[in-house]
Amino acid sequence: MQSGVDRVSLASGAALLVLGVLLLLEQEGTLDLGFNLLTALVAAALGTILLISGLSDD
Amino acid sequence: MAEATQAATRLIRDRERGLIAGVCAGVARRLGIDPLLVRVVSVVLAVATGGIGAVAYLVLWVALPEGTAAVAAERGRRSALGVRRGGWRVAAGAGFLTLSLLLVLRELGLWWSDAVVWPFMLAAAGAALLWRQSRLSARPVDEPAEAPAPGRPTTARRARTPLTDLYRGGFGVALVVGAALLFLSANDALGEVRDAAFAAIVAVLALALILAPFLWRLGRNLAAERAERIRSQERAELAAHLHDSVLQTLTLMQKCAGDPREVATLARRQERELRSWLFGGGSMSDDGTLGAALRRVAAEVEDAHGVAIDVVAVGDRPLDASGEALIAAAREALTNAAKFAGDAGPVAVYCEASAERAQVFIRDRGPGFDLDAVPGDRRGVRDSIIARMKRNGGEARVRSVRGEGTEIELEIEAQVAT
Repeated sequence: MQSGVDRVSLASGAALLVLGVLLLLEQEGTLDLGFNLLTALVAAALGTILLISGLSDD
Repeated sequence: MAEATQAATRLIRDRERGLIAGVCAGVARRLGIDPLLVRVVSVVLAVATGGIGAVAYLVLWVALPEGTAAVAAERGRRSALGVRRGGWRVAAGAGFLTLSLLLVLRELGLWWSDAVVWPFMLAAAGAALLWRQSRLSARPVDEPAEAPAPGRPTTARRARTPLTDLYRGGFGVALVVGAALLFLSANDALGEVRDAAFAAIVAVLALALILAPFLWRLGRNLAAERAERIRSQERAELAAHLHDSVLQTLTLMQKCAGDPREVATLARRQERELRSWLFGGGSMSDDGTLGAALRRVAAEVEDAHGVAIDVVAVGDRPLDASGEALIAAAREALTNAAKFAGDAGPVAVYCEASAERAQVFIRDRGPGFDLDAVPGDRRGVRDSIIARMKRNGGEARVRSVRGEGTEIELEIEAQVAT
């Protein structure tokens, strides 16, 4: 039984949550992001997850 | 050991270190290289072959077995080598974040060329690797980076070698340099440098080819010289020891050649010392075991009375309280044998010890004696041997025949007396 918070999972979940919300808003037409910005968002989410995951191994 | 070796070299899917199915990680584990390299090559192949590489990945996904124990064994080996798997994630994360930033800038109109995307991404990844490596290098090797999560083994992760530091740092430098070259090439600024760089590379290669035989011979000569120096030191050490011990003893023996007992004592003392030095048992100075203590006592009695004492010990055990009582009784028996039977030849000592019990037999070929006829004021055998052994839970038996010799048997259980 492990206690405490897994920081990598927490940050990854938050990044994916933000990405999902933005994609949902874009899908509903609330936001008009375009392909370039969507790609940037996906890259940012992926980069954040990888960076935090890698730093957690130090 | 054989299973671990076999497991470490078997091609499997390494799910624990894999991103998708562990195919690249498994191949990297099999080749003994960083998974990042295999992933980069796989992506390049997948793009260059128009998707055939991706199909090959799927085939390997299905064909390769998933590893568990083998992966654990390999993880242990790599951890011992100090290879961390977080490095490529930091580099890739920095690269993706840079890509994201560039795309946003491009969307905002702050842009001048698409050719800078790859150089910037590579430079960011290399800089992240270097930054992370500098942090790890600055940290003491045995310092824990963070409290280990429950259930996560971290003991071997702190082991780091200069080779892995160099590998990580070199990879980061290569990324940054590659990014700079890519940037220059994309902006047509590499044309003038290319010729000079090519000429320099050719010159360096030619120089290496010229000097290679000399350097190779120099290395071999240095190795041979080092081996010869070690051999010379060993010879000098041996000569010094022989001079200080054996030659000195031989000189003493020449001086007292008229006294056979003194000569025999000197010879046996030298023999013990030489055996101890040659075989490195340390038995003459370390009384940690029953056998060592018995040999020391025999040597002391031999030196004190000039009587040869042959010790044969079978088995051994740590010297506890009962063993000390046994040794004290044996010393008394040896002293008696040396005093009263020293002229009849060497005294034989046989010791048999195990974890449960110990037996010592001391036999001489002296005139023998009748224990009941020994005067009451002579307490050596009765008190120092028989009574001492009884007090410590052991037993002493004296067998003596007039004109034939005496045998004293000492027997005691381990840890009876405390």
